[in-house]
Amino acid sequence: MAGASVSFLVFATVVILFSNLWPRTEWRQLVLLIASVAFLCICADKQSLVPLIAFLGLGYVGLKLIESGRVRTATPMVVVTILIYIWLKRYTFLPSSLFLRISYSTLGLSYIFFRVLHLLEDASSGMLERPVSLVSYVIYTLNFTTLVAGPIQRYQDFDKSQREARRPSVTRVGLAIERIITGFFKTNVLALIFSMLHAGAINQIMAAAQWQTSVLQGAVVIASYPFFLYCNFSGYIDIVIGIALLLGISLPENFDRPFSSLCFIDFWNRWHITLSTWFKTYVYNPLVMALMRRFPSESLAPVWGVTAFFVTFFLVGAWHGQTFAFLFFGVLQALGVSINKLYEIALAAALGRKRVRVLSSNGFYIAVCRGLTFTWLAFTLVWSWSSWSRLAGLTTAMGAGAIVASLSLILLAATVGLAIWEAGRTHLLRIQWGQQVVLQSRYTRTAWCTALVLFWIAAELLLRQPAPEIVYKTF
Amino acid sequence: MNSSPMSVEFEQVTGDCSTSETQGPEHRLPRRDWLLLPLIVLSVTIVFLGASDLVADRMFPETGQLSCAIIDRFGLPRQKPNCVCRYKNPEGPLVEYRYNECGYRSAKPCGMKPRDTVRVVVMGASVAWGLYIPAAETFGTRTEAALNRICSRPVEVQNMGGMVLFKDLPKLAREALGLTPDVIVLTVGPFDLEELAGTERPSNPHAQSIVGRTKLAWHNLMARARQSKFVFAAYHYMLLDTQVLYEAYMHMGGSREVMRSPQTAEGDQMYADFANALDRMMAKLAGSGVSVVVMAVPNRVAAAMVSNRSHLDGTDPLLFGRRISEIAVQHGAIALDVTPGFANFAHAEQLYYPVDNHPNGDGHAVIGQALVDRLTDGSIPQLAACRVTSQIAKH
Repeated sequence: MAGASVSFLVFATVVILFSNLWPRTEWRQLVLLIASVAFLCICADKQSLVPLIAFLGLGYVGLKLIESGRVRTATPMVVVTILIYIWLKRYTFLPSSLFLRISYSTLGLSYIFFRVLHLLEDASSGMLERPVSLVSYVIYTLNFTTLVAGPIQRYQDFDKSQREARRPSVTRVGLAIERIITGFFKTNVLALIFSMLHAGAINQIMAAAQWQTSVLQGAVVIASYPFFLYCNFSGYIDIVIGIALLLGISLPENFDRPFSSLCFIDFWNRWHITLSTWFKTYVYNPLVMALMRRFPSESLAPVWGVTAFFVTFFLVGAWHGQTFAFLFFGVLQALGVSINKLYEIALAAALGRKRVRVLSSNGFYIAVCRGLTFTWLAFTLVWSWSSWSRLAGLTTAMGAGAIVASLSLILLAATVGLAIWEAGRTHLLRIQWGQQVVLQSRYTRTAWCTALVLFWIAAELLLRQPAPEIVYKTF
Repeated sequence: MNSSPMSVEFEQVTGDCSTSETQGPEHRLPRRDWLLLPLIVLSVTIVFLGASDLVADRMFPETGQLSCAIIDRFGLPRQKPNCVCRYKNPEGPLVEYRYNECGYRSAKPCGMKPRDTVRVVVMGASVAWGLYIPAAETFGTRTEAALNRICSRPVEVQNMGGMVLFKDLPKLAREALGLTPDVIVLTVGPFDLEELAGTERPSNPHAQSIVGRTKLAWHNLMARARQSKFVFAAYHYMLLDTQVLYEAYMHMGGSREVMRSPQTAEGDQMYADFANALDRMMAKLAGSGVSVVVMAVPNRVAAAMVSNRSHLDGTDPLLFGRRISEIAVQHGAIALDVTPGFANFAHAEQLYYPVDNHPNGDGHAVIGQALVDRLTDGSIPQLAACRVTSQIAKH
């Protein structure tokens, strides 16, 4: 049920109905508490939840110690929490003798970890307005809408939306249903199609006799995965945002048209936004501040910025998995943003701000930047869906020349394709009926959502395959 | 948290229209929208279904007509002699139906049996007829071709199959004997048993009540909807899935009583009706010396179950073949249950048309092979000589 399934929607519908029976905050909290605990018990065997519950308990004890003033700084609790998290995550590059020998569930562990660290840090710096009650702590960390794959919401925002929650109006219900339908279509139709495309192309590479086939299928394999991941993850986020809206909780947005990004730094501002915001707040900013304080030189500021970028995005990348491949994925993310930053600094130094601004408004330059960003993302993601041995197999089957040609083809297609997409989108958003943008009118959106539901039913009949699991569930 | 000099570039980009809408001020829905929005949903659905129906019609076209069909003077459905027609059912290929001078779907003439030739007459309903199957792929033609390969004597098959009910087969016994056959193969499927019993079903006692009328209206509406190509296409794709096939069968599947275990009174009655019809048939053939083979052909669900080793509560896929065989033996006929033959194929449900439920060309190959094996196993004296050759061919 921990995915974009009909059973998840049915479960959520029951919770929404109960939650809106009575408008009192306590009632809503009670319903959310029961629902979240039930959700966890349905998704995982009860006995396998013991380490997860212990991890949660430890976080709460740490929080109370900080709130009561018995511990003045969050650092020891943060270090202990990080170490236990790493231990529970069973990173393959650590000695396996260290790990627990029992099988246990890590469902939502990463997202609980982010929330617990955030609470510890904010409690220590006095940013929490009031003490966190046990019920608030449990529903914040285990909230069934955000447990599996986020988004990572600040406690203050969650608490506020809980207190201000009221029965959703008709328009709010409409917007929520729209989000749920869009998300369901993305996860169950588009993601499925892209995953089928991806798997089919891998098989074709292995059987390809011609160089051109290898190049074309290689491009499909590499380029289809970002689209699959986007539909899979952002679709799930759409669903949980819609469900949360009906529960009176306003979850933060996690995506902002990431493939329209003009550079890799911009990409991470638009992809898994709550994760990058978390890392910005708790890793990047403190690190830059610490470096600047330790070496207070104006000329060194860009160096510390690039260094902090590298460290932050290495951690962002490495967080995505438990194997060496993900450490390399982290290095590639770090290289992407660092080189991007160095390029910006060098460009500004060489051309000056005014000419950089002129260059940045050039259509061709923008299109190439978008294409390059997408191509780099698609290339780095190879290490997220493939193991080293599988990668070796694909490389042997394709050959280095074909891989380079595939990447060049992706760059070309992404540059042209994304430019056309952006131009088309801009053009369509200009079409107005009276004062209203036609595409954004509720009538167009109602028609669109109806069509999506019908397409989904048709796809269910035609494809007859279950939608892929939510990838970020395993992170 | 203080902002660092570098954090400017790392600011979260906002402005997504969906964000602003979901978190913006809530407006009341204008009164007209309570009507307009449902109308839009309805309109889009109608347009979508209409378009889907057109696409489905392209994907599953139905062309031609079974124009050779006639009703003879005894009121039996027959085929015009020397007639040719073409018909494509939505799930199958375009098929030519060519009938000989007797109106049988056979390439060979139906006149006097050539010397030394072994003549096999196939009788039965749609499966025997080879409905929706090209002539070369019907089990009758396959059997003829296989026997001619392995037997020293020429073998011909006269296919008398048609849309005839099993209870009417005895009326054709004299005509069949006129062909001077060596073997008569009576083909029977679960659907034939239902037809035997189902022609005069008692009416629903609640039909006059409001619930009954509503149910009837709903049933009629669904029957109309089922005629649309979109619904047909939906059924087709759904029924490709084995689990959906089983669920559909358990909820509303035909021929359930025939395979229900333990047997119900209704199911028992169907087998009794079959025994009665076979009794009349055997009486007409008595004294002719013609060997009679009663061949039980399973339906799609039974074939799927034996093939996939599936279990469905209260359903025995082998029951039909077993009971038919028992009745056949009791009446002095040679029994042939084709059901186990489908167990040798993975996903034998693919050997049938999903919606139509008739075996397809590959399904007929399984039936043909089972028939060839039975005819050459020594039970039929005229084909006993083929036995050795058949076994050699198998090895």
